[in-house]
Amino acid sequence: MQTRSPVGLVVLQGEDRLKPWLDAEAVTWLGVTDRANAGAGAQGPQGDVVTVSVRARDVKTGSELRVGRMVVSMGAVRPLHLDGARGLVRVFGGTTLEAFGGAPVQRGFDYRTADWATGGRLAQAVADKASVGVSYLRRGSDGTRSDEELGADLALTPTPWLTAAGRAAFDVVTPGPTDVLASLSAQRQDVRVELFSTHRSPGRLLPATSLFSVLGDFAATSVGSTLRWRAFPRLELLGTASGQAQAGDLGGQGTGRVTLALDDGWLGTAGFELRRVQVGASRWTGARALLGLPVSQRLRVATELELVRPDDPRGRGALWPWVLGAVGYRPNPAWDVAVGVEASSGPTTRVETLALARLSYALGSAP
Amino acid sequence: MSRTTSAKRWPLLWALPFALLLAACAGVLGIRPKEPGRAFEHRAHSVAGVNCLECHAGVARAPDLGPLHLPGTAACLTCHAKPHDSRACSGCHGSPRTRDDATRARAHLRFSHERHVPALRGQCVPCHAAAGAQTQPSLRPPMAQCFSCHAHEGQWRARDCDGCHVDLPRELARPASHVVHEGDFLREHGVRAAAARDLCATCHSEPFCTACHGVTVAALPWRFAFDRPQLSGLHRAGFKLRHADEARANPGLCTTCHGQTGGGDAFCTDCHAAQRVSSGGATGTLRTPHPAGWVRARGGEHGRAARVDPGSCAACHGGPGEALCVGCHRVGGPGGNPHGPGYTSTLDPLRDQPCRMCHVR
Repeated sequence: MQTRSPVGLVVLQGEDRLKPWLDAEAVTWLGVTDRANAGAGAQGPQGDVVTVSVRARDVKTGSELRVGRMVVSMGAVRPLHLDGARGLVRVFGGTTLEAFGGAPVQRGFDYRTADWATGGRLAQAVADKASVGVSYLRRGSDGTRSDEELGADLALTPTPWLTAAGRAAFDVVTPGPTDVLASLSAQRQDVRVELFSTHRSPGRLLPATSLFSVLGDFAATSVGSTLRWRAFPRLELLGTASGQAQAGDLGGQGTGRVTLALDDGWLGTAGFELRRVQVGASRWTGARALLGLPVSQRLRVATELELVRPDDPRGRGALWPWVLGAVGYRPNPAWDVAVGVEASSGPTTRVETLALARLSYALGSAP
Repeated sequence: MSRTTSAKRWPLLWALPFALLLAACAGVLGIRPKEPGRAFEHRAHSVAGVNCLECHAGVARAPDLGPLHLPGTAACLTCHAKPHDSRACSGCHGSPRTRDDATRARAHLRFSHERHVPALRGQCVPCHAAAGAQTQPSLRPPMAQCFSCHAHEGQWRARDCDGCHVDLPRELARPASHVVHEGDFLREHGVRAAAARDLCATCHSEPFCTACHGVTVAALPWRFAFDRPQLSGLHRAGFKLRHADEARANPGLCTTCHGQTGGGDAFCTDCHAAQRVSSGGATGTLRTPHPAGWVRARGGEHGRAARVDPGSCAACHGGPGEALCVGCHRVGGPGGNPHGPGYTSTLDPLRDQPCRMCHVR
């Protein structure tokens, strides 16, 4: 939910110095208004909890138990925002067993009585060089099985300059692969190259009780590469290109970006990016420029401009500009202030102007 | 003659601005001569029989925290009675970067020379191997050197980083051999997090994950870091303008985060309803999200779009049974039977949605 401002974010983290195996954390939004229901319910501003959990950890083995509200990301199955418990046990030098159970998070603690999710993962690591795991997720919605997934994941770091990662998830309810990813990266000094491939069936990612999931869908498969090159100490080039197959249509997209540092610490940067997308009905060209400049140790200014030109405007505007100007001020390590103005014209709104402001205060350093 | 002289001067006149231009470019790109100062002559001192502890006096008894034991000019003068220069010795002998490295190590690491020196019987080189080399980019031992000891290897396996690192997140240390954030790390971060979530957790706490994956998150982190456009992140710049096209170019990608609760559409429905986008108003400041010809008597483009990315349709037209769709896509309706040839399902047509929408009647 993206909400109307103003909102506040309170982050609390604590660790017991006497019991280093115990820590807790909480993140809460304040002032959030559910605009969709504002007219009907008219409840006014309210808050919502993103995270509130307590973790107990065995320092010697790395095993842990977390209870509360958390994000469960386990192997290839989809991540879940969960109210419940998650346990991790490390045994036999590299074997990891994880399990979780609870109720998927609903905003405002608005639960149905029979929503639940459970699953786990069994993994084996080999000397920090490789990790392979299998995972399982089963989820019920209003008493009915809505999702059931099996997944497998693999992560390899055979040498410090070569990494590989892969995952595959299989939908059990509507049999078929939902999400497959493979990535291979190599880095030598200032050059890094990545090859990747993805395959995704969007309909299968929806709840099984959705009509869209039974209509059938076109899976999208893409293959591409990313090249990143630190050409000079203050200049970095990045290019990425991929080809996609989607419902019998072939397409592709590519991005080129150049970033120039304005100082040796890369605190100030200027960048320019060009992007072209030509996949199915999505055909557009975009350009983006940005500048972030520390004027002094306390003051920084930033500006960002983006122009998007759709190939076929279809009555939604021939050019979609977006611009941002911002100033940040940090008088001391505790206080941080920033103000900005954002303006745009796009396919749904002819003119939109937003004022942005941020005020934050850190009560103290983390323990 | 004057023409000949002028012709000879031309290259010189061009060379000067060209050289200035090159120098300016080199400055902008950060190209400059290697830093002044040279590696300290550790090897020469060692060959001359000078023990490390003679210069680094007191380091053998140094506890976890405390001052560095880098020798000053006075220590040099105990042997070099007639220095060739009146300036501080460290101004030329020894790289400033090496000293900065030691200062940072002192600030970020818990390390007791008092406990390590006796165990190594006073030998420093087994850890500070670079001291014997001609070039010494850093005399700080690599982590692999620490892992050569069984105790530290065990600490690493248990992700017990606090034993050595004072504050890992603040140190911004990223073990190069295990964690690679370079390039488009976003693509594979999920796999990496799944494989070694505890390793990620040494720097990133739970709120870091929920900032993007949390259902109750009200705004993405970059909306707060709007004064730092150089930071990468999800949905940067004018993403809101192009999100429909982004969704079409990467079908299903949105659904991996948005649409796991409340029927799969609450996130988008909230925003579209508030913006009055889903009402299809084409007047005033609003534009309809669907182009002309979206729905025609023989289907139109919406059918293909629905199959390419059902998630984007479900953003507005979701909910139990997608009543809007079933209104046409039913036996006897203009859209006809929604099930293709050979369709099978494990759902109970009399109990499960959306089947009940038609089959219970």
